[in-house]
Amino acid sequence: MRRFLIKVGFFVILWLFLIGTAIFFSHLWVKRQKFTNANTEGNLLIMPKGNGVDYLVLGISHGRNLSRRSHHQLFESVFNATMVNLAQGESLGGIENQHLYLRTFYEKGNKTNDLILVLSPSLMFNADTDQSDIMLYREPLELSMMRRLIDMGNDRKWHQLFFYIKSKLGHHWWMLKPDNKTHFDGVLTAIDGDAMKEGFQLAYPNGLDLKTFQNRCQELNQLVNTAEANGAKLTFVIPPAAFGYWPGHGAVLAHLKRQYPGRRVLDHSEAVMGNAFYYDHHHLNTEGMKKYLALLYGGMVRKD
Amino acid sequence: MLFNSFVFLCFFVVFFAIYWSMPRKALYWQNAVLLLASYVFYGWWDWRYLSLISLASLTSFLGALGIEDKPSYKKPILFIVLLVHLGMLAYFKYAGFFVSSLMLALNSIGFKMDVVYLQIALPVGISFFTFQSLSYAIDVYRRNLTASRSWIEYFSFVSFFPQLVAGPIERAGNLLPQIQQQRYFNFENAGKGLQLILWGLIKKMMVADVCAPVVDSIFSNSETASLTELWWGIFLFGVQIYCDFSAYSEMAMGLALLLGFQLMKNFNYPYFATNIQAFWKRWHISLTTWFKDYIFLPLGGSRVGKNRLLLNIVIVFLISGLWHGANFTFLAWGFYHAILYGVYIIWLAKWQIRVPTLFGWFFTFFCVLVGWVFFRAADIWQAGTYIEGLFSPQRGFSMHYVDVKLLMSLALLVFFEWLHRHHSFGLDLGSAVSQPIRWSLYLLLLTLWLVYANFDEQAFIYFDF
Repeated sequence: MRRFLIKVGFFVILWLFLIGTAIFFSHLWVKRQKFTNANTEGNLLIMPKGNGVDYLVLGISHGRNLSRRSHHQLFESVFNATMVNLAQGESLGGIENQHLYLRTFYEKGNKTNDLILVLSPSLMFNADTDQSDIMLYREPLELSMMRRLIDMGNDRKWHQLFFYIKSKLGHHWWMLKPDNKTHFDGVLTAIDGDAMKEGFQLAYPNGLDLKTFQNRCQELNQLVNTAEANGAKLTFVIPPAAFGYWPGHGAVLAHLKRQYPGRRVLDHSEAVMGNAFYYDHHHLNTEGMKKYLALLYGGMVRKD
Repeated sequence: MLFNSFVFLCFFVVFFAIYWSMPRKALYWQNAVLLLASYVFYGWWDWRYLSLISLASLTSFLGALGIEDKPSYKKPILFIVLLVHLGMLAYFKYAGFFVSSLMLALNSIGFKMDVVYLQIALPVGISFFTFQSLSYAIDVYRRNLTASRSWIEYFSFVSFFPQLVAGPIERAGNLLPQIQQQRYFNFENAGKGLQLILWGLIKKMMVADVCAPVVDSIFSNSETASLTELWWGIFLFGVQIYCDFSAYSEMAMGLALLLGFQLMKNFNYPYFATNIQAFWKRWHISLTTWFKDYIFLPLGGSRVGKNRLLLNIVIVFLISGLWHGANFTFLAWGFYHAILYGVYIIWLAKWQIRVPTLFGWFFTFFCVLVGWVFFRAADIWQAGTYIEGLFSPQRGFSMHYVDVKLLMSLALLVFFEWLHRHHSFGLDLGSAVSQPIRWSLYLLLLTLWLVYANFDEQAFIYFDF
């Protein structure tokens, strides 16, 4: 028995050592790439340390779209300011997820004057976006991130931690590369009712469930508290969509106005209309983004 | 508690430590710990079903004692044991099916009534432990076996957790004597046990669970899927069910070896069979031999006329189908295999028709795959539509369900299973391979498993049976 236990123990230690080594080298391999906020959605790959930025953006893919391709530079030139975008696309950026990144941002000694929270109404009715096991697959392994993940109240946090670690061995991580394309040229040809219905089913897995909405409101409150405790001025933005208003739009808007008086709330649901400005039903292409950034800037300046 | 779960890992490590720290020559305590662990394992699903497995164990335990001690009453006693076991199985597994089928049949001949669908939860593993208990009572009745006098030993046999919920269906003649003897730790067996567990985890989590979502998707869209997608779907289901089920059996064998037991082999590379008879000698061996010993041979076996033999085969395969589940699809699956098997052994084998091995393998594999449609379909109508689609070129040849991870998993499976087809299992490297190479391979496979396995803790398909 002793011989067996020693051999098994030695094997496990050897395996863990090899895994640790592989993770270390994968980290070096990926880090050698030139990542910027505009060409990756791996936030820890680009997050500054001890920096001050003018704008910090949080949200789901609609927030991330402010940085994708050349949109990041467009934003900074329109606003004439620096911006860090921590929003997450690919259905990975829930409110808890964004709170996790916000805490990381502050714990790394960063500061921001303005926090733009791109609050797509679907985010307030969908708890699944925080449940994804692959939430951190694009992030380098950091012990402090693991600690923050464990601190989260999320039911799936242990799964997410496990996947966070093991993702560093998978080909997705090793092959992570900057997306250096500069434009979204695609154009939405027509509003497709069936595709929209399908999309809404994914974006609202429980429909307009009140309980989910209430839970998300509580999570949002925690995020707002963290931001304001660190001196950020908050702006809520409901992003534009080719179809205009998202389901649940009224409830979200009413909640923001009631719960957060005195904060900027910009309802841009119908700010950019016309299929030519979108590459799908709710993501602006580069032409659309040019038009929208001017509107966003105008809205923020005007409210000031 | 699933073998592929973290909670099972914790459970087994704690149990393993306690089990092997029992003092030497303390068989009673070794079995007591084993029994307790088995009940914890089973109760983890639903503690209420512990009463069911206890009742099954108690009935066959007392029944066997009665049969042995009161030979003049052995027939009625065996009858009671059969009644209790089959009654439990009938109630939990088949009552809903028979009641709703009867009502539908009555409706169809003019008796108007609302069809009632009974909602009776199926206790996990009931078909397995019922058959295990039944074979024990019948073996004692036939005087092939001496009745156990220790309830702890017998209860441990029925509830032996490595194989409790999905087999192999162990015979008392094999497992009970091992329980009645003190177990001593064996280094070589324990090592082999770990290899079996690793290979089982790879097959389950890297192959079966990766195929599962594709299969589900193709079957749920079977009315619109293309011809190639339908074939791909049924091919993947064939892989999925084999990997899912044989993985459980191999993990069961591996866990048993770690505890000092040897379980029977349940699969022997069935997809490499070159005829349907050979397939059934290699697929779910513990159930096939059970049916042979307790149903086919008492019906007269093969020493009967051609028609009677065909009838016997049909009976056995229909019962086998019904054993898998209360649904007409399983009956159809059983009947389909009965025809294949009957045609083969009554005519093809008898006339000694020789076909090239490659053709034999291909044809057998093709027939088995088509049969899986019945097994997987939600109902007999879907099975019909699916099979019709398999032979409809007008469905087209588009393909949307191929990805690298899936192909890599399949390649890994075929490579190891083909390479070691003459060994006891796919990862059985034998003694010819040096230790550094073996360890390197295990490290590589373990890492691939960690990276690419599906960790969603998917239940095993055979838990439903």
